[in-house]
Amino acid sequence: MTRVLSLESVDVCHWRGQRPVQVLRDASIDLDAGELAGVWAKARGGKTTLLEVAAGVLAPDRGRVVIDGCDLAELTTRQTTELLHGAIGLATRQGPAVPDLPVAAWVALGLMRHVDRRAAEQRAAQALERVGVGAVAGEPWRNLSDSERIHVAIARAVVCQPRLLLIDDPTAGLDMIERVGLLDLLRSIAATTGVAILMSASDMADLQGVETVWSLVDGHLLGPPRQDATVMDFARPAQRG
Amino acid sequence: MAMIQDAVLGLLAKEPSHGYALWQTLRSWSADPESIQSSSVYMALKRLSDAGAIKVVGQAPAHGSGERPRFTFGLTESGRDRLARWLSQPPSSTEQLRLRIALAQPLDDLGVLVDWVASALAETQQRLGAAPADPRHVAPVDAWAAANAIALSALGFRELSARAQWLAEAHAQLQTLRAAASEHQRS
Repeated sequence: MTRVLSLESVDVCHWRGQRPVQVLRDASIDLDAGELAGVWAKARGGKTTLLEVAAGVLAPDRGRVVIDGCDLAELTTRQTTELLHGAIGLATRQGPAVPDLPVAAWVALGLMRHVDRRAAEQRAAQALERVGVGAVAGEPWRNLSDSERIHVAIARAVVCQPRLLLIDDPTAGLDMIERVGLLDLLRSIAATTGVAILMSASDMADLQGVETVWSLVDGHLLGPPRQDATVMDFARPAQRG
Repeated sequence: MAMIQDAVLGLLAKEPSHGYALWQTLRSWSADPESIQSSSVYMALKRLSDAGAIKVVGQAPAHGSGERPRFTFGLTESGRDRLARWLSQPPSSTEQLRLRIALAQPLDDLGVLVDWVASALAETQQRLGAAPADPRHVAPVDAWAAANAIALSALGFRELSARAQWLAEAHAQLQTLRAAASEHQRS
């Protein structure tokens, strides 16, 4: 398996007014190509910060961020920009800055750095079809439901064929059937394109069916058992060292 | 009920007490207070006493005539040893973890609990990840059957995820206790 993302012992501290808040403490995470992983945290629990660090848009106070074998700290600004545009897709519910823009044009805009307009529009239409929202291509963002919005945001993120796809709380506001459909879509995108997907959720139940699940509590990232531990390890007396 | 015996030992290590007070405290700590019978607490006291782990250290006067006097129990040396052994082992269930957190003292080594919670959380998260695929894609089923299957599996996973969320919060809680304990030791 190709390692796409590694966070190694990452610390991030935010200032909330006068008070420092340690959002990430010694957080480490590894993600391979084709893997679907999810992070659960409470509201204001550091989900967005974690995704921003993984996306390379927020530099950690300490620790390393390695994307596709490149240590972000060792790249020039230009190299970082290239990497971020080409290798990483970040899907949020922000939507386009121009409110009246049809969402198909917004998805296509993400491509126009590299391809001409006609090709961009064609690929945007394909991406919207692929995620199942081809029917709303001509609509502006404000006419879309929560579910349609997150699907369009995912289409915009995957249209550049990234190596790493980061999705901020995609299941919020979705009903049970929509959630199952969305996770199914993400699994199939990961399996067919080999993109590594990291999504966040504010309800752990939304991570049902996500291969690798992490919890982020109080800045600590708690994930799968260590490589040397078995699944039932917790039933045995813990090895204290 | 070995767990109630251990819990009684833990409570008596803090201060000598009598059966009724022990029962009330254990009920207040349980997720399911009705499941803790007073008889099981008195039985635990008898067993512990027979085994020499606790002994009567005092007697409170009866409230009214005809009522039995209340015996106050305290730990013996062998009771302390047994408690120390229990505390050094990982809990065997989340209910036992609740007890251990409730009984935690500032000077206790909480490392064994932290490790257990991390592993139990990892295991629960893994089970959460092993959800069945969308039934609509596995076999051609009608919309009603698909919605029904999704709802059923969601109910099961709701329970699993509640457990995982609780474990994650317990982990944070233990870390806070640990930090408070090291503050306590320094001052």
